[in-house]
Amino acid sequence: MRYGQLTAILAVTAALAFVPNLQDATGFPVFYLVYAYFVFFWIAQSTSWNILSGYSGYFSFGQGAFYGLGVYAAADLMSREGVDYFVTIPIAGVLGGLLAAGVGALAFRLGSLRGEIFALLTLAVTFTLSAIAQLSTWVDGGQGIPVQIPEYPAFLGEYQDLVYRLGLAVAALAVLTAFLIQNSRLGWGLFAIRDEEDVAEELGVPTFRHKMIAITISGFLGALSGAVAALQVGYLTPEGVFNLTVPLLVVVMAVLGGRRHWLGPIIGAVVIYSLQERLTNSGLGDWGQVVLGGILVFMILFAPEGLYERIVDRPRRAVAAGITLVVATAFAGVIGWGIATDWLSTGLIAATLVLLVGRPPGHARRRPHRELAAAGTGGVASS
Amino acid sequence: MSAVSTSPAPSVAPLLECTDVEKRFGGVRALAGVSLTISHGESVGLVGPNGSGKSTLISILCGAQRPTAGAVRLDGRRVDRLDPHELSHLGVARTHQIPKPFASMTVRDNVAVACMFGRVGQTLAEARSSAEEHLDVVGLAAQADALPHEINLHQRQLLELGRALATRPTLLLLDEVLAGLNPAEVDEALGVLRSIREGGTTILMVEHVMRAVMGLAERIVVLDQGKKLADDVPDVVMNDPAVAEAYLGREHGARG
Amino acid sequence: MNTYVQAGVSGVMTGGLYAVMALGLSLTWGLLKVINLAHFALILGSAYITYQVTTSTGADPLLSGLIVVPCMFAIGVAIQWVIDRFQVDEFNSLLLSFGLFIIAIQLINNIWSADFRQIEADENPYATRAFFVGSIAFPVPQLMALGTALALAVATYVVLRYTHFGRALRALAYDREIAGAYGVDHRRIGMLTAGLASAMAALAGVLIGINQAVFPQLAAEWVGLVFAVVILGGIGNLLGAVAAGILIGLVYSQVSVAWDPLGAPLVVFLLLILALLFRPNGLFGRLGS
Repeated sequence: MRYGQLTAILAVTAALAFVPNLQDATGFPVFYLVYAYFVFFWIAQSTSWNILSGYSGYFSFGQGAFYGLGVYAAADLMSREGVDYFVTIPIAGVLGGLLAAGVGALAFRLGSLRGEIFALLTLAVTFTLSAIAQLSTWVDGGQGIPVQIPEYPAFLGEYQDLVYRLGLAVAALAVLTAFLIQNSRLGWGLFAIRDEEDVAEELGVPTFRHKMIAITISGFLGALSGAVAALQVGYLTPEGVFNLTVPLLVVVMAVLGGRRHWLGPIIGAVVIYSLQERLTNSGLGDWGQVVLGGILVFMILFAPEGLYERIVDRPRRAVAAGITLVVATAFAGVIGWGIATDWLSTGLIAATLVLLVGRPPGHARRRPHRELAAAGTGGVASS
Repeated sequence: MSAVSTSPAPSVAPLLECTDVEKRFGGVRALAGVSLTISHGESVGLVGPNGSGKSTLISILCGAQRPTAGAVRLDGRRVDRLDPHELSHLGVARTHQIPKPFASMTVRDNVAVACMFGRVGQTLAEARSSAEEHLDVVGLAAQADALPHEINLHQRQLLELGRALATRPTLLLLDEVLAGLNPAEVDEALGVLRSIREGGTTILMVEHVMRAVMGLAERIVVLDQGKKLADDVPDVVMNDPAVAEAYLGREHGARG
Repeated sequence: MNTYVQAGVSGVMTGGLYAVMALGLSLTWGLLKVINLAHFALILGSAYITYQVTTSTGADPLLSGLIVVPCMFAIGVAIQWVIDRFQVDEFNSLLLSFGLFIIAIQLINNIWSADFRQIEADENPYATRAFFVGSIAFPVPQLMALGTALALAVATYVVLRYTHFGRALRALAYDREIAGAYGVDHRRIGMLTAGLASAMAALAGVLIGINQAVFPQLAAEWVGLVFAVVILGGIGNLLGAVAAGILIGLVYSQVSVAWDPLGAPLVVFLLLILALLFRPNGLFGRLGS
């Protein structure tokens, strides 16, 4: 058990929990709390995606479905059924877990096409849920539903403080879960599945069970995060919720940050979200998805292992990146290039570039299986 | 080698019992009613020309495939419908003809996974140190920190073997574990296999390299086109004219 | 009653269009083990180019094919080359093609905006023409789609079955290592196949440009449908893809008319689930060609 890392996670979470108090005391703009909330949201989503797709290699397009289910469940239970908001959150989580388990039970036993079929099945689930949302008048008949602000006890503070803390809680839960899984037998089983699923099964890894656990957790956390997000969305429409934004962003974030470690999605979420905000604020919103797609393509081709592995394998380069982060942020601040979050995004982009320049770290470069086979085969296979 | 019959004493139940195992793939019949018995501690060779069904039989025995008909019993218990991981926990392990290591893990960690999930499941910490012992057995201790693409084919085959051993099997299925090796490497591997056999593990080895099978197996089973052609001590099998025609007649230099 | 028959007829022909879209995907998936999401972007791009060329020059829309087919062929080859050169494995190639898909859709959005684009009726000699059997209409664009699907499927079947290239490709699909031992160069054949699949995508795009209005999100709507066609038809089974396309087109149109247009994707999806549960190799078997 890596107590050092565990303590760090808990300590950081505790520290962040007090930031709203800081805001009350110093009066810096509430905007930063909202910004932070969104960073927490994306950390939760990309981390929960990574638990299944990064660790086990089963690429999922379905994160949007879990998120959407969470949002709709919370909003609907609250407005239609009058359920107390705080109760809707775990209910949404459970629903997400059930949906995930259903998809897994269907897709994880399908013989040799498991991985690809799973990916496309999850895509289809996303679009089908949208069709259902539009069809069924039980939900809202296709028109949007407004999400009202729920009642909550006064001691929890201002509304944005509440949203911030809930977002933080879910993100922390996701990160802790990813951390615990990574360092457990479940995590090793998932990594083995990612590399060679059939071999893992033959060596004794209960592959079906492990995948089911991973996807159920992923769905639970994704929906949980969605339920909290309902507070930030004023008005729900199916097209607004069930689109490709969430699936795309979580993929890019995890690929950029690194899919083999719990820190990867966090790094990716922070960098990508700040980049995206920056683009939107600069009026380049139309190019946002081009940039995201470009980052994805670039990373897959040149740095598939992600930023985290580069940080770990090249400590001096990591230090250089850290320095760049501070210097670039300060520089942007000094010349007054936008607001504080823009300075930070400048620093992050600069630091990312520093990390990405140059050849990939030697031993982290994995080779595809067929190259191994081709390199080593002396004789012709027989039966 | 004496011509002593190797059929098990009546009071000792066999470890593995295949009864009329049949496997069809669409219209192709890879195995047609194969029956086979292996006793505890035996070393049995499985030979046959290309397409005779050897690999299919191995796949069925480790659970990767299900027989279309017939039964497989391990220690008397019916196992042909079990998942591979369940068979692994019952003590069945296999190696692959073309090594399939976990490409992103070190040699040590490859073996550690087997320690963690095999018949005697260990914790992460225990598994890593156990892995070192298994690497010693197959002679890969020096490569413990290497990644699979950094070692050569021979070493990858040893890794394949080491990993299978780390699950502490009672029945070890070897699928052409000596393919592509030069004579020196073959001798080294045979030495490892002999020590495994001395440890009490039952071995079923599929091989093309006749020298290896003759050197290790107490009994040889010959398959041809999905049927069992012969099942006896090596001397008898090698002098069987039907075997010679089916197998040796089609394979050049098989006696080499 | 007439509505159902008309819907059925249209459905069958539109199914031909789905089949054309699915053929290229089935080919690369079945033979190269690559799922190329960018395929949909190529289709959409071809449709937009057809629209633009026809609208700007007033030329016959089919002539756009002369431009897009070679273009998309080249792009398909390029993508496959990149995958080989950078040794991108199966799952990462899915991510890669996803990235390309996203880029392409956004670029289309930026160039042409999110508005619906359709070739004006007076520029499109095929739009209003139709054959009639009684009161049932057989619109020419849809007939062309069906015809193209059949022609392509048959042509590809013949190539795979009777030519050297086709045999090499099937050997490669069966076992890459063995094929390599017999001298099959998987890189060149892979690129050629990818190019052909993209050329088919281009043809699909031209037909779509002639047939209907296009908008950027259209490509996303296709993914589930075409995927269903590929799976139901059997991956790599091109004639199966045509049959499955027609079947799905039929189901889609009937459900739209009998129930609700929004219900159609749902029913298709449910069909797909049932097929995966009971017939994972498709209704007609995989790699039947």
